[in-house]
Amino acid sequence: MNQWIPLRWPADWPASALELIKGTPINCLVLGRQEGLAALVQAARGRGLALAGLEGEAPEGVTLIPCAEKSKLNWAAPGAVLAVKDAVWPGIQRGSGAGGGPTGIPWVDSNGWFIQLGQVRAPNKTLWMAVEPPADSALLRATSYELAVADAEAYGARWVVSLDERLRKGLTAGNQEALDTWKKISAALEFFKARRHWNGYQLASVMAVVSDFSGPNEELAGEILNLAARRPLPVLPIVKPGAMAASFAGLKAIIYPDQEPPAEPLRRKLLEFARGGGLLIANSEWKSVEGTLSGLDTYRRLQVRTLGRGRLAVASEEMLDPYAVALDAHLLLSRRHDPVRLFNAGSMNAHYAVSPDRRRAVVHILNYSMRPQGHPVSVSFPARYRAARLWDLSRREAAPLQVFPEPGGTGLQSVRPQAKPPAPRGIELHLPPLQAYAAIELEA
Amino acid sequence: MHSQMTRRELLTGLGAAGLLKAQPSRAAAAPTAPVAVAQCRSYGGELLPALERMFDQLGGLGRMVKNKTVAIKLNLTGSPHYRMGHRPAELAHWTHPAVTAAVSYLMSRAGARRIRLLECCWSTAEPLEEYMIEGGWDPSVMLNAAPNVEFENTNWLGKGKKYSRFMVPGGGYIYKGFDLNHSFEDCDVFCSIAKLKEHATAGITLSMKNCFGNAPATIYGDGAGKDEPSEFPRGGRNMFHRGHRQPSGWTENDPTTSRADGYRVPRIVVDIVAARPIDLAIVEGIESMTVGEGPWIPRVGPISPGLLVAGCNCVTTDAVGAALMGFDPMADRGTAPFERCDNTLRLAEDVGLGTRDLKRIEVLGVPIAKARVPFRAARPA
Repeated sequence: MNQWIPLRWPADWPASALELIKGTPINCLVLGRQEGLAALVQAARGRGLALAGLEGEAPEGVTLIPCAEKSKLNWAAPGAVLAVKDAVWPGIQRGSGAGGGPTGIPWVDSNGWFIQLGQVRAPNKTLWMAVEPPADSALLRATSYELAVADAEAYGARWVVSLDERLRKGLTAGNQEALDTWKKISAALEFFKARRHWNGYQLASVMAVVSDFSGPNEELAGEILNLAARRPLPVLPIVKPGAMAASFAGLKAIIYPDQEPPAEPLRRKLLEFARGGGLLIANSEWKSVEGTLSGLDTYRRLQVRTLGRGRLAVASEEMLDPYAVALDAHLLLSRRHDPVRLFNAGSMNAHYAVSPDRRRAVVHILNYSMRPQGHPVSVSFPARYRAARLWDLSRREAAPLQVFPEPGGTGLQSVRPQAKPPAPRGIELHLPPLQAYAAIELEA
Repeated sequence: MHSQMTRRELLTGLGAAGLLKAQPSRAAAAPTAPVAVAQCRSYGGELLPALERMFDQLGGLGRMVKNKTVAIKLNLTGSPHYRMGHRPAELAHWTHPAVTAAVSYLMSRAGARRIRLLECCWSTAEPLEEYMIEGGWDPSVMLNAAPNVEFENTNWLGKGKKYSRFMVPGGGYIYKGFDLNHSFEDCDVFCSIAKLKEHATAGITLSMKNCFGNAPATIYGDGAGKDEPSEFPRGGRNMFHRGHRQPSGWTENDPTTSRADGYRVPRIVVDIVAARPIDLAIVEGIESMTVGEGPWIPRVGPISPGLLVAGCNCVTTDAVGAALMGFDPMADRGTAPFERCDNTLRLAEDVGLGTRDLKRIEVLGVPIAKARVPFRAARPA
């Protein structure tokens, strides 16, 4: 089931439309309760396609996929797949303004943060994003579908391919524009299928959120992941029941946003992390007596204490605003620890993951505006990679990228004769104009 | 380009012109001061000696900064994520950190007690150092340039307890005064280090226009409070451009005047500079951009003027800067680069801040004719 690539079969398609599946990576039909199903089931089985149905709408005789809203998902449900009913259609949120100007970044809808959380909660399961295209299909383009595929696949999930009415009708009528869109969807699915090894890479992160991600803590903890990703600050979710076994190696900061303090063993482990040089940010109920007040704060929202070689920052009042938590955490930690930095990427997210042996990495760039920016994107890393190449969804061969030294680091010399020059830093890559998605593959 | 003046603006402009005609002696009496010009092709080893020579030509930094606290307003406009193409911001629209570091080093060596680097970081109260890191810089280049360098984000109250009030002598074109971050008051010497570049609204961005960014968004920004400053800054200074609302706790002199940005922005720049005078104006044009002040302006392109300009009078310095860019500082509205705005230099001259008349300005170092790099000729096709 983990290998299934699902298509929500349109109820108005005849069985003969199965011809469209031929030559695509789609190997699973998600069926609803509809008339004339028997002929379709027989034809699909004859083609070796798996048949499934989402919980609540599945017909008899197909594999039932547990499906629920994010907050109601049963992570321990049997089977290798869980479907998310309230996944978002990826893109710029309407009214958030993606226009130019020296403005802030636009709000984007993405499922990335939830998929990353799901992989921690149920590492052996594959998440399906059961989201259908928006009703006003006039706004949909082929790139909208490519982005829907990429927003799930880049993070290791699947999008249950769902077609809008115009595309469904266009395909059965043999309309060329519809067929071109279908080819692009197929190519996007094929692209990620051929690179499943990327899913084994680990999020390059120096910050984690430790939470139970449920009940009263669900929204705050989840939104911290979501909003930190837009800064872009990748944050690793660590789910509380497993936190005692989790490794904090490589982390520089941990946010503990849950209102109730942790059980004593976890509290000791978190404090040990801080004493060892880390930054621990806790909600107001922590009732800290550890360490000594440093006098530092971030806009009076946190009281920062020195603790051993590290710091403990406790919220002055209950944390309510996830953006403020992400901002404060980012500032206390400092941007100098950012694993990746993007320029001219206002409507883009970057998902940076490193191979277990740390010799390879991939950066998925998702462009939620689905059109090239006014100026091309530059990406910089503090890490020093020797080679980089760029993939997009239409390429059979990757394009090599020239690796430049990061200009803000090695290019500047100190003016004081006696001062030490800045330490050499990382690298920078210059990307060509991007549509919905590109991936940078890096070699150390 | 053509002038897009409204009838109201035209009438207002004629009124201002009439005022000027009525006060010819004031422009003629506007003070002058020498301006140093140097050619400098890179931010490497030639930068420090070039600046050193320029300051010597101006009489030496020691007389200006010895035992003094210096505040330096940088030009880090727009979001730190913005770049013109792949060019780092310092090679297009931001004051280059090497220039800031070199000036800080020379000031410290000349006896400055403390050097505080200032900028209103776009729509945020984050520390200036973090803003620089976000832009891809290593602030230690500036921090290590001298033993006494500090940073302050002046877009809000910052490290101060209250805002400092600066009144405009003579009452101001648009505003009677401004409330600014304490750093603009807690200094003996105020220095503006600007980029040599054009400006979509004001024609040119030089040492005076740089000070448009002195105004904190908590009072002059889109999210400013009505009667009291907001706690945190949000958005740009659209009220300066459009005049659609008043700053927190202030009312402008005459809300019936033109709301056009080409009328308002040059006047507000002069008001700010009159209220908080610039003691040392430095314009950095080693690498820059054409057409506008940042990558968000359409059709911008790179230019490498290889120039440094400095002076102790902001109007004479900017007049020389404009001339080096291929513009006539005496140009009036409708003429490049002031096609759709009033000439800030003329407005500043009219209130007696300094002369824009090149015939009255002593240029030290490289003559204008030898150093001129016409920006309009370098615009992308």
